[in-house]
Amino acid sequence: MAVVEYAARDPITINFGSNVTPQLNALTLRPHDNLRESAWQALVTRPDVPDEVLRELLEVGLFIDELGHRAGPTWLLERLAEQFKYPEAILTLVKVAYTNPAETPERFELLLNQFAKNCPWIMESLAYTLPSCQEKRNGYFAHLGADQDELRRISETTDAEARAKKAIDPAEIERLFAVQEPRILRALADNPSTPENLLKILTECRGQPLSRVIRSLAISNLQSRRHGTN
Amino acid sequence: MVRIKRRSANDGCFYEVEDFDQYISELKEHGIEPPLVKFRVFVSHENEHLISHTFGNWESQLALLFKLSPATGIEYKIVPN
Repeated sequence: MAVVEYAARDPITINFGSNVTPQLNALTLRPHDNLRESAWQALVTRPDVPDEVLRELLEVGLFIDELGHRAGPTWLLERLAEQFKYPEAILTLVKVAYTNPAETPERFELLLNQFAKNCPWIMESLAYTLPSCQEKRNGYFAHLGADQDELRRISETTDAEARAKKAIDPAEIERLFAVQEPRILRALADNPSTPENLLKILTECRGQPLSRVIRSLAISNLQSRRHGTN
Repeated sequence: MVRIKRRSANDGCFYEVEDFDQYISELKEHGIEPPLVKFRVFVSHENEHLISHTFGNWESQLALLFKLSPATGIEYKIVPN
């Protein structure tokens, strides 16, 4: 059957003409970047490869792993997700829809409906990702099952951690500190606005995850204030 | 043995497997995912030179496009059309 299909169609021509000369030239100028043994793999992973080459390779089914690890373009990721069910392409699409303010909550919802059921690891990855708006987080929560409270908690922590990194209001910093969650404490330990009394407490942090990095960040934060480098 | 035909064009060469059905069978026998459709490639002389300069032996680089390499155990030869 496959033989008939192959014979029935005119061959696709993959064109490596002047369209890719600048990219190959760039590989030549920086030979130490070319850790791969294959020129084609090195070429395909470059962000500036022309769309028509990507399209031809996809059509033929060549270098799917390399194509699947690209950050875009979107049409390529969509084809890889739909046709090849390529995990990294699916994850990239969903994450971009979750984090990019230019992508609508409806688009994010659509992708979750399309892929989340068969790719449960997407939900875990999103728990550690900051959405571009609350509506997307609500959409994410709506897709979590009854047994996925832990992911809901991690997602809320991700949100609090982001706030702890940038908080300047002492009352908010106090509130975040009171949660005593390691990821939030780590962010506070590194925040230039965290009051010194809290930082001193954090320099003594022990017996919980991230203790060492929390202590180290708090010490460094205090030192940089004393040296006036903050 | 997979034979890849080389046909000169204006500023480069076309490369195409001579017997595509046999090529597909060889790939399958060696557990290599075959291409989805029949294909050929065009590479300009300039690009061939750039690839040889950076990645070494041109013929082995070309063979990789057809999923062929000594590691696959499939013998291949590039022949003029």
